[in-house]
Parts: sequence; structure tokens; C-alpha cells
Amino acid sequence: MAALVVAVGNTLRGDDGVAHRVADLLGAHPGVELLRVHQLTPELAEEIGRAGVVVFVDADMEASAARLERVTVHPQPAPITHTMTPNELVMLAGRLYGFQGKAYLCHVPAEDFTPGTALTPVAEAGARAAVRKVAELLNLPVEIL
Amino acid sequence: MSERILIHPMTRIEGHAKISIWVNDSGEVESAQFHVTEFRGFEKICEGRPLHEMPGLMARVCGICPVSHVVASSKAGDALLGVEVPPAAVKQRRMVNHAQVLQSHALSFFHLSSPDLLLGMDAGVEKRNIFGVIEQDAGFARRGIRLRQFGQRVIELVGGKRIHPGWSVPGGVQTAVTAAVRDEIAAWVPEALESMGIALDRMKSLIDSFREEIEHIGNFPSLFLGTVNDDGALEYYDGRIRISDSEGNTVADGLDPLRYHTYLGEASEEWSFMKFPYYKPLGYPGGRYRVGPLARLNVASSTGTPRADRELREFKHRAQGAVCQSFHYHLARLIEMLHAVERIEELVADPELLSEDVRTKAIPNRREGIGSCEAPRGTLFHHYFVDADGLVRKANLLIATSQNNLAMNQAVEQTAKHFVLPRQLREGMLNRVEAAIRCYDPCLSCSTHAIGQMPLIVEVRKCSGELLDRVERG
Repeated sequence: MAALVVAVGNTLRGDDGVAHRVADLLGAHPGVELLRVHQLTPELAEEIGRAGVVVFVDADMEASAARLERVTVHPQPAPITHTMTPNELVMLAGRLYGFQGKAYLCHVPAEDFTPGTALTPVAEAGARAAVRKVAELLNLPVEIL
Repeated sequence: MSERILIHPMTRIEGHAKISIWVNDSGEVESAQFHVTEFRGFEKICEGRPLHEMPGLMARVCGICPVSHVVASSKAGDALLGVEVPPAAVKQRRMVNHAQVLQSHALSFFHLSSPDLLLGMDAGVEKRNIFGVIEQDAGFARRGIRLRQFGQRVIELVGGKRIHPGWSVPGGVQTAVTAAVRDEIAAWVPEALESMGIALDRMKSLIDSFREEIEHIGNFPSLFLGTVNDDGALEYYDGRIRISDSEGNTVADGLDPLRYHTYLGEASEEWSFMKFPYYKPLGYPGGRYRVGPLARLNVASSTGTPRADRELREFKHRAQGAVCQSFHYHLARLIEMLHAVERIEELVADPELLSEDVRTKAIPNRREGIGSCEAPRGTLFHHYFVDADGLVRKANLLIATSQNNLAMNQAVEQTAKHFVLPRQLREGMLNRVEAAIRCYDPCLSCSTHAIGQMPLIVEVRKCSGELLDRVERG
């Protein structure tokens, strides 16, 4: 697997599910695995360990535009609970499965997480912009209007 | 009482909670309380929803144990339809519930509790996490991840999704299991059995180094409640409720789970959002009982599977009557994981699992329905009342974790009294208080919006508010 795209969020909580929209728009490509999850959990480390590049896509209420951020590994991980951050997961994949690839977090603008399946215009536009960013990063032939 | 030590928020549990430790004028721990500080209100959300929507809706109650909610909800729906569920559907529900016990317990043991067990209660907080475990034994941590993966994969293959599967419905399930799915699940079993053997050996080799914790972290008499089958063996899907005491005597047997409200009451306290269930014949709070792995193994005569039975026999020798030490929830959890793998192995070998007769359809024929099952953390009850149109008018959910509420409070107080020296606070003391709660692996938020990374701040204050001491982590 050359690249792994992990779409994180709950599609029943409005814009929280925007990463799944990004996954829909990105579509299937050879060498790229798309994973849709509600939250990041430890067992994803093994799949990350098999990838050369991993891109986490997540809704971000503080983002004004879609942007990619390199995931860096903190030297002192915080105590964990049932869920993990991209940072902790990348660190786990590195320690357990020898992941040495690059990891990114794609922030997608979001503004409304109230229950419902619809995206706000801000999130919809953010999803399209995010797809362009991810496609460019992974060199994928994706056309987004 | 002049001072209060506050542990807020708690770490390595699911949900939002805090612990108060009250200190008297002599500087000794007087009492302690475990407060649940979040409110969900799911019972109210159910009102007005169509019966057939309930399992899918109830899957959303919890991101850790959604399957148990789906199963209990489906069984309540079966009762409301008044139908017999096809055997293949029952087998699917059983298998996915076992898979959930496996994945939930794997997370609890390997990721949340093994840092305490492998590195020690006094290890530096920067080390006492899964990364510390990896430094000590990466292979052990990998096995934990694979066991959780196995459970999640079974849920995904049979239930359609890893989290919030909604495949089970009133009257059965929506899809049949294919031979390819069965074969993939069967292929995981040998590795899972090997991993469970390694984990159990490791745990048993560690136990002697925790003698003080075993003796003083939640070691007290109580009742134990769990579901057993007609042979008195461990049962997670269908059976009767058995209650035993700390001497190992059976207090009540053959109780109908559909009449839970006649023998279980629910009390409230103003300082917690979690209810306090109790055994009615002994009143409140005297009717304190425990559920979950320790309780199930205490009430069951056997597990019904060969490897887990060997472990159960050894487990029961740890006490003269019932095993009352909360610390042994960890070992009980591992035995249940082994049992879950054995049961999954049995189910995939059963040709009936592949039957395409998986659902009985009907309109609601009753106005009241109850479904119960054993969830990872204990016995779960869903109780619905519907109107003539099949819309839910009232719902009561008796959640496993809440049934341990009285016991968790007792465990916290006992642990604090033994280990916490208020004038010389050390991180390891407070970690033991948290560890008392982690024995029960409480699932407080019952949904996917988990707390993420949390700092822990402990302050010792006088009643006047003056800060006497402070410990911070995270």
C-alpha cells in the first residue's frame, strides 16, 4: 500500500462527517486505501504501518480553509483513553510496526456538529478544497470543480 | 472534615468523571466518592421513535459496546413482535456479542490497565501508558492490538460496521453470513487462542507482585449478579439471572431477566449523574452488587468451553468463597476473552450459521418488551413500552456500568483510606485510587465522543479554599 487516507468523523453529526465527503470525492485509486472511521483507535496502527504515506482527514471548527499539516511525533505522549490522536497513532505505528513514512493531517473547515446528515456550505466547500490538497499531495488524477 | 482532594478528570476510562477524597481534621482520609459528571438522556431520545428503528438508534448509545445495546434492543423488539427468532440469527447475535467482549476487554486490558500491571503503579506517569508497555514488550502490545482487531473484524464482517453496527433488528438480523466471512473469521482463531494463552500466563506471573493492591483495592464483600444457562454455565445472550454472595452461596437463582424491575431497584444521589442500582430484597445501599467479568465468573459453575473452564477452576481457587478482590477483574477479563474466542470458534464450525433464514417479520403484537444480554461490563437491560402504532412511549435502559456504581464508590473509598497520605501526596497513591475504578473498566459516556487526552490535576484544599498541595500531570 503506497498511501492510506483515513477519514475520521461521525456522519450523523453534521459537519463532523465532512471527512467522509472528502473520501467520496477522492474516490478509489490504485495504491491508495481509503479508510472511514468514527474515531482513531489503536488497531489502526497496523494498517498505518503498511503505508508509505498516511493522510488523516478530519473536521476542524477552527480552520478557515482546508490545509495540510505534517504530523509530528511528540517525545512525551499523554495518557491515552479509548481514542487516540493522529500523533499518538503514528507514534504507535512507528514503535510497533516500523512505520517510517510521512503522515499528514488534513484540516477541513467545519462549523456545525448538531445531529443531522447534511453538510453546511462551509464544510462542502472545505471538502472540495481538501480533496484538491490531498490529490496534489498523493499525485492523484482527481478533478474537482 | 476540613479538606477535599479532587482527582479531576480521571484518566484511562471512557467518559467524564472525578473523584473526591475527603480528609478529616486529623489529616486522614475520611471518605471518598466517585462522581459521574456527564448526562446523556438517551431514554428520553427514544420516546416517539418507531420500534424497528430502536436497534440502530441504540447502537449509537455507545462506541465501545454498541453490539450489546443492539442485541438487548433487538431482543426487546423480538418480545414486542412476539416472534421466534431464526436460529441462524441468534447465532450471529451471539458471535458478534462475543467479538465485542473480546475487543472491548482487549482495549481495557492491553491499553488501559497493562501500563499499571507491567510497569508498576509507581512508574513515572510519562511511562505509564501504552508506549511504556511497548518499550518493555512490543510483542505483547502487538498481540493486544491483534486481539482487538480480531474482535472488530468479526463485528465488521457480520454486523456491517466496526462501530455502531445496526444489522440486528426486531425478529432477527438483516443478512446471512457467507462462507467467505465464516472462513476469514475461522482463520483468525489459532492466533487469538495463542495470544490469550500468553496473556493469561503473563498476568498470572505478575499477580504476586501486587499483593498489597489485591488486598486493598476494592476488596470487600458484596453480591454478584450475572446470567447463566440451564447448566449454570457462563451465558451472554439468553439465560437466567443468578445472584451469589461473597461466601459463594447462591442468594437467588433462575431469576427471569424480563422481571428485572421486581428485584433490582435504582436509587439516585445528588452528587452523581449515574444511578445506583441495588438488589431490592436487601434495600439501598445494602443491596450493593457487582456485575461484569468478576461477577460472571463468581456466579457461573463453569464456562462451557474447555480452555476457559481450566482457567475458571484455577480462578475459583483464589478464594474460599467468591473472589471479592476488584483487582481480579483483570484476570477475569482475560478468561472471558479466552472464552469468547472459543465460542467464536464453535460458532463458525456450526453449519447453521450460514442459513439464509435470518429474520421473522411481524407487526408489534405486545405493548411492553424487555431484552437483556451480558455486555462486556455486565448485565444490560432494555425495557420498552410502545403504543398501537409501534412508537416507543417509554424506555428504561439499565446499563452495566451503573450497576457497579455502589461497588466503585466502595472501592475508591477503601483504596484511598489505605494508600493516600494527604500530607505527603504522591502520584502513585492517586494512581491506585484511579486503578480501583479502572478494575471495573467503566464506560461512562457510552458514545464515541470520548475524552481524548486528559490532564490530571489533584488539589488538596481547606474548606476555606486555601490550596495546601497540588499534583499535576499531562
